[in-house]
Amino acid sequence: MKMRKIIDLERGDTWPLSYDATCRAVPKRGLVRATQIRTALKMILACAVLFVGVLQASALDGVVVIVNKSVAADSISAAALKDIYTGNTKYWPDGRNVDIALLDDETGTTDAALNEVSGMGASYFRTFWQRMVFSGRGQQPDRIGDAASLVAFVASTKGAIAIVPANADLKGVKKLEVK
Amino acid sequence: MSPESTNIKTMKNKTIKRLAVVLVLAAIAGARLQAAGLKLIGTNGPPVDFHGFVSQGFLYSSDYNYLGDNSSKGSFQFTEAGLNASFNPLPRTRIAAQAFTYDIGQAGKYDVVLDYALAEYAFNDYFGIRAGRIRRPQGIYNDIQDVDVARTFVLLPQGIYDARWRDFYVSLDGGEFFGTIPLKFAGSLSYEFYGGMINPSMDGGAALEISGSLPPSGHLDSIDSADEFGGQLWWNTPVDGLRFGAAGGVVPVFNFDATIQTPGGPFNPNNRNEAAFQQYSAEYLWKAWTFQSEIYLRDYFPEAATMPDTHLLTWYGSAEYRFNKWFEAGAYYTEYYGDLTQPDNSLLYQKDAALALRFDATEWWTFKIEGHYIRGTGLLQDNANNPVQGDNGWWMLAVKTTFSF
Repeated sequence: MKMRKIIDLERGDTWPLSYDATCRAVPKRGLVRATQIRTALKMILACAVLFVGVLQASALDGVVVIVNKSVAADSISAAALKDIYTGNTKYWPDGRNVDIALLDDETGTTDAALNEVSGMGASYFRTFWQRMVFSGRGQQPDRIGDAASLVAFVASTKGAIAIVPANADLKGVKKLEVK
Repeated sequence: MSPESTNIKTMKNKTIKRLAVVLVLAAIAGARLQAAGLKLIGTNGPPVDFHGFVSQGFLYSSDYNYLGDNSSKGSFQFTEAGLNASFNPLPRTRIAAQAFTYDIGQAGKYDVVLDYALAEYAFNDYFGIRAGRIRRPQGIYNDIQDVDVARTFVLLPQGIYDARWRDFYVSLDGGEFFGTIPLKFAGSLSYEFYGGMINPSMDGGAALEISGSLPPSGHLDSIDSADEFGGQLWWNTPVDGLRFGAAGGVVPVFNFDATIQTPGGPFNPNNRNEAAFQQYSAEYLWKAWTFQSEIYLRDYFPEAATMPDTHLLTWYGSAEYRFNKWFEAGAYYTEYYGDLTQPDNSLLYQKDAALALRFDATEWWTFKIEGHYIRGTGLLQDNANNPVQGDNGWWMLAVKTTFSF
């Protein structure tokens, strides 16, 4: 039994093995099937990742994330962006307050992107931040009426971040690449 | 002064207070329906954010005076208002405070209280500290249970979020640690651990509940402030919109002083007891749907050997659907058991099926209407003036409108 354990550990194999008379490990009959299942699972996982990637591309298509030039970062991970929009990250690495600004979007383009990055629909997102504000845990995002005004707000507000249509004039702000 | 003239004076004061609160806050809301970011005059300091709300409700019950003082005839005694300010004076630092007043039935009475006043410092996303008068986290709604705009329903499941008990449950003087720890592919874990002192009001739900439970010859003299320790964990799963929570807390010594007149003279019973609770929550946001369910257990362990331990349980399940930017509908079913050793006693349980419609006329004006069908009377107070009429089901209508900015 000890020898079997040693062989398993050396191979790093978690799949069932059997052993011949000389204690040489050989695959059990079921191993072939297990390998097939493992391959199928990998394919399903790859498809799922691809599917999620396609969804992300579609939801963030047509918009860009912009920040005030005081923000040092040039890019941000999707997870870090979600932490900002769900209130888990309230400060930039230099300690400056993250000031979220939103577009009052009649077209729904940025609403869809907001849904993608926060995991919340537009109305629930508003409710969520009302909860944060009235429990003393956060600062309500600023809502701005049009894209040009929103860009101007981000340009003039240190620590500000916003999602704007990709065709907006990004004068005075920094575009943040989402990885 | 006769008791009658005292009562009339009290009613007049209450009416004036109510009018003042509603008018002042409505004026503020009307004059400035957007959140304000103001700089203090003559300074170059950080801007101060102001937000506020004022809610007015109406309660009508088919059989009992429940929540509202006279709800069996229709009651407007259902008002909440708050005004808060916050700013970031230094990097990673926030200061926030809120004044709050409410009136629901005999609870609240428009006493203006400092709801929270806190300073917060976040070392990073994983660890921060908050101190002062803080909102106590417990489940999905405890820290925002009086913020009408932050939910679909007029009345949350009352076995957990009793609108009359907010002085006991919502805030405490002390501090807490908080943060969010990433779990790589498993999502993240948010935590808050707190400790401090609660200060129950003689106008609050706890005092009313105790007064109602005393014999006719008894009188509640005072309720002591009490230490409380606890925490809230949220596992934000890798599935978008799905999270699970667990909360727990303990009040090591809860005490109130009461005097009961007996033929042998005044008697002061030992009312010291330990209270503990646990709550488990699940929430899932899917497209325009929100699904929530929670279970809440509360235990009392009296010091007096003659008093039995008491174990309470409440659970609910709810579903809400947002049709568009104006309309949202929701329904829940909840069961409250005031004593788990007597689950079939309708005087001790209350089972409530609710259906609500919310209309957001504008960003700052919300209107709600809600119907309840209730069985059992376990959450009624002041039973001497509110006699139970058997175990038949009864109805309740709740309407509420809120201005917020």
